[in-house]
Amino acid sequence: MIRTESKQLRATYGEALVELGAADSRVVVVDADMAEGTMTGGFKERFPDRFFDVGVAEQNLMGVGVGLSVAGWIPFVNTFAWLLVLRAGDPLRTLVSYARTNVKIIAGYGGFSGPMDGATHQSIMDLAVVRALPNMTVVVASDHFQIRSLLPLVADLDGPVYLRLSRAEVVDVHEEGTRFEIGKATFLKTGGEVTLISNGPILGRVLTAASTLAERGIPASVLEVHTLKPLDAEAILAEAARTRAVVTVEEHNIIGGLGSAVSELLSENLPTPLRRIGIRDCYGETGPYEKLLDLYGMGVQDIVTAAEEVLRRRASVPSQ
Amino acid sequence: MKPVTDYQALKCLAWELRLDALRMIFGAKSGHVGGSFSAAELITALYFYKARLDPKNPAWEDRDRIFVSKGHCAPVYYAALSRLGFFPREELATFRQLGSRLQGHPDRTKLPGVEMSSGPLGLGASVAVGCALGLRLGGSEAGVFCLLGDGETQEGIVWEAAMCAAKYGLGNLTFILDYNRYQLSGAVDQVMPLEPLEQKWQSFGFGVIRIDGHDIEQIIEALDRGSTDRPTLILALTVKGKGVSFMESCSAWHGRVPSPEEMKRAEEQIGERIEACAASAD
Repeated sequence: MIRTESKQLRATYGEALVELGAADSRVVVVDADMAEGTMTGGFKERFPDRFFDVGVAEQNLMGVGVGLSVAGWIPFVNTFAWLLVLRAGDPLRTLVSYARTNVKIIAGYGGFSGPMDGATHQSIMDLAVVRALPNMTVVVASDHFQIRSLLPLVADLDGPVYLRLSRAEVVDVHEEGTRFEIGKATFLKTGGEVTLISNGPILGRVLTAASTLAERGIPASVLEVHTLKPLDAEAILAEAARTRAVVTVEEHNIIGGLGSAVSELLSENLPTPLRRIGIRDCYGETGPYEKLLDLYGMGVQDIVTAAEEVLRRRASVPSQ
Repeated sequence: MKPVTDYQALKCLAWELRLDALRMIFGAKSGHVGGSFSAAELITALYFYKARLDPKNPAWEDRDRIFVSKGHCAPVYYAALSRLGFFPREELATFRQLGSRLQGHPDRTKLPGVEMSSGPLGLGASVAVGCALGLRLGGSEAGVFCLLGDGETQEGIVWEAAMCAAKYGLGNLTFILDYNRYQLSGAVDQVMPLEPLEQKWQSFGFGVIRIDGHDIEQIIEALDRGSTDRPTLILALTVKGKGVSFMESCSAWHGRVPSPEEMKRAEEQIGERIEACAASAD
């Protein structure tokens, strides 16, 4: 069964974090004056001793998280995605990625999901940064069910994890009971003629696009690469070999994120007609979330058009 | 590990560490001599007298946590770790060589005894604060120490960390500031003045203890004084390049490598100190 209630993804994270805190006494939470935004307030209320607010100081946020890990705790470090990778970029590289500490970076407001605050508060480049940091596991969460399933796995994974969340209102796309494994991509639709590869809350749009394509007689596979790193090369290559037509869809700059990761993999191993849907190397602006996605090239129609285009290109490319 | 409580032995040891560091830097044709020499007594007192560590079990849960935030003093730091038994002394000769565990700046994933990778300045202060919070939360008696350079405290993160340490009243945290008054491009007072340092740290909520950072007895007294309800800053007045006449208080020796002629003179000068030290111990 898929729950159809629309709710902000961050709210579910906040609830799941409390559950995790109850189940695992090693979990501590660090925030930078953003508990109301990151939704760590519930954890703070329930486990006040295990919650630390460092104020508006993101470099120290990262360092304090690392220090807590040295003392044996499993710290969940929270704030806006862009602050974590840019303002706290050196502590992230040196103390988390290079030093391979057991720190969980929980990146709020991914993509355009802080829409009304404007481009300064939108994170369109964070995944490009963390993907290029060795030792990092990078996960992009798509719905409520998945957040609840993944959070204990993130806590149990021994090593640094970057988990990208969203402030967007999201409807579940996964059946309850779906099992996730970090590093393993998940099919939402199989056996298509064209493959749509995506992650994050934009998956809802990808599924709508897949329905539109189906109505036009083009069945589409939908492969969710929730773990951007390590990339599930096996699943992507097998699927690309089958359809030979791929569209990537991400709420991120098309430079450095999912589209890049898939392009790199396919270019080296299995050159495949491919289109990348995402933000085309520009900044966003203030505006309603769904309208921003449409305006910046991530509309359902953009996905449909891209799928039709890769199919036309496949037809003109001699198969290997 | 049994602490060394003989002051004279500790004094001699600091000079031995300087000689080790000098040879490592000369051998590697690279490394930071000035800030290694200024920190020699601080590192000695901290590691050989104060800290509760187990070189056979570097991950011992109850160990004191020492963060050498000024990672460029790696030569003197590595010399101390090897003498403590974290790794073989012969390995010091591999400093900055390809394939060595003794990286240009400390790497915790490679070298036993290194609590946290460091080099980019200021980060250790923040890690120390988080660690002090974590140890206190777990009811640990272990102490947390962080060695900072003076130029390093021009980094904003140091003051973010300081505010946080005061907010949480971290009595288990001690910052040690190696105040040698020179940084890479010149005198600290000219590059970016830090004074009034004592008042600055006091106003940030730290108990400040001002000492001669080359006087083992004063360092030990400061390390032992401790606090229960607020963090401590040991403001250690030191001399950059301490012990070699032509290196002292000279920013050029922040990261310069001695020529063979300079090496000979430096070894002689430090050798004399070691001999004098041994003689007065007899």
